[in-house]
Amino acid sequence: MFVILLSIFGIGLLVIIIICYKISKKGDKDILTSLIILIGFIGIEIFIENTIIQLLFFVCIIILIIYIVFFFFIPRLFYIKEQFLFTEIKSEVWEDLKMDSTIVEKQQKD
Amino acid sequence: MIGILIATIPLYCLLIGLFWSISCSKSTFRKKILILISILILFTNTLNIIIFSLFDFQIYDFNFNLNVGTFFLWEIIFALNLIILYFSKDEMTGILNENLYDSLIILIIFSLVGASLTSNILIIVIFVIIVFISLGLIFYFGIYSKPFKLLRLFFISIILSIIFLILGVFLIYFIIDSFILTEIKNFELNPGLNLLISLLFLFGFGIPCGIIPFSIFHLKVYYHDSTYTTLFIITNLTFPIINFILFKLLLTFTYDLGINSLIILIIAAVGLIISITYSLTETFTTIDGNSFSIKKILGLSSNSDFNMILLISAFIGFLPTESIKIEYGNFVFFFIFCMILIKILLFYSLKPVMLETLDDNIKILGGFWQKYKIFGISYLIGGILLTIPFALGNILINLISNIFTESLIDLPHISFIGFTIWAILIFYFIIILIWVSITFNDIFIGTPKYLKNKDIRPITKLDYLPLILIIIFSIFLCIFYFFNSLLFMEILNFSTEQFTH
Repeated sequence: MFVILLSIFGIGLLVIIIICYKISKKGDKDILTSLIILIGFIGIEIFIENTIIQLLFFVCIIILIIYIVFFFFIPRLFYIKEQFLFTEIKSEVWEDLKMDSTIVEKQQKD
Repeated sequence: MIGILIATIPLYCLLIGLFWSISCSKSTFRKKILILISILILFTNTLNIIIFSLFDFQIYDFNFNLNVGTFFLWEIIFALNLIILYFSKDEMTGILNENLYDSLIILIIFSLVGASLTSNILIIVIFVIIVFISLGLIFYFGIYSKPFKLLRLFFISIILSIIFLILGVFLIYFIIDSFILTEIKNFELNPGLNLLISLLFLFGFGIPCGIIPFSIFHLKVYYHDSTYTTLFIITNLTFPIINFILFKLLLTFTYDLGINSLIILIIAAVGLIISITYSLTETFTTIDGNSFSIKKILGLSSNSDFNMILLISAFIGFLPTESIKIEYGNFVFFFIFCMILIKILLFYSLKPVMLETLDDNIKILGGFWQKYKIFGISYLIGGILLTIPFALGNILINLISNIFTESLIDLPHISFIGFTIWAILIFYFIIILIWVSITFNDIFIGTPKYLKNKDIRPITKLDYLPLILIIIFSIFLCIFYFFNSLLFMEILNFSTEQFTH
């Protein structure tokens, strides 16, 4: 019973993730992937009992959170022109973002 | 195992909501699905409460605390989620990166639910760090772009708190070699180390929420320049839940040590004085850059709530017997729940302000009484309820008679501290009554001088639903409290037996 339920839950989540990947824009795909990894790490952390491995995962998760914030959220939030600190936003992603911002600006003007 | 799977369906739905909100770029469609998911989560969680209370289930596998108390806390978080989505539908539609804003809201909800679910300190710390960083990020969303340096002090406080939390975690690892709260509680820690760890966690959780040394100074800009939705998330959702988690942790570390409690008491008292002073200066004066901002008044009052709850909860360390500790701890939880519900009522009653204007100066707002009578009445009711939360659960009679007159009669110094705290609490309620009446007078009765928004959405019947929901929740809370007097202690992993031995 447990295995059946678990597999239904797992398959359901997988299907939803695939659908989300299909419909998401290029810039959002990166954030989606990183958040899935983050939640996966936290999930693993819950089921591990060894304290050293728990601590190692903890450090990994902290690094991952910093990575997500600095490389995905801050560039998107402040739409920094093409380049941010150490990374370069891919041109196609940037085009997507620029389109978004022009739509919003138009709406605000209206 | 099957029980865990079924009981965590709300979490599973939240995950789906999170992925959906990132990927769907069509605003209306995304919001509709998110509201649908939120209703589903609320419904499944209500079912959980009914099933777990009827069959008296409790699951503690994988350090999860799946019991009625936890589900009750979730119910409030999920109801808040629904209200936040409803708020954001009005205020945050059409902004840039709207999908990221929605996803950050769901991430905060998910993290708070996760942190209240587990008794593994490592997982709690991770979730709380995610919440703090997300809070910093959601500030920047809105129709106006804001420079990054605006929240410099807030981010410094977050970095400091993360450092404290990581230090605390490593200290626990090196000394106790376990991250489970019950095991940490049973470990006989040296008093000095106990104090050090409890202070590390106190500052780790408390600094971004308004305890000294930063107090409210890093949050003033946040309150003033954030949107109502963001303000609602930080003040009514995050602070009370962090407060609850902090109480849970402090109960683990400072349970038997009066000195720890005394230090926490002093920290909370100083924080309370600062936040009350600033909320009063904001309400009455323009000194120190104050501008009668309703957002700031609400925000600062939530900081004083945080410190007040910390002050009340620190007193548990002084109480002499286990049974009194349980009764008192239960009361603290009831108090936290009451504060959450009533503050939501107050905040939600200000929804007309959000719809009508971008101004937040209470001196130029006014005239809402004619158009929004029900909101005005509910604001007044909220203020009155806030001043007498004890009346909701017959608390005053029980606690005063049991704790302060019978059991502490032989311990004059503890009795003195206890009565001082009660005096501060009553004084605090008087202060709140003052600012509620002042803001009510200015916003709902005063003469309007504000600039109206272009397209004001008329109030529909659906807008009154949260008000009704909050009142229903309050009634439910009282019923549960009456019939299960130890309901809130179940939220902790300490079952009653563990707690008494």
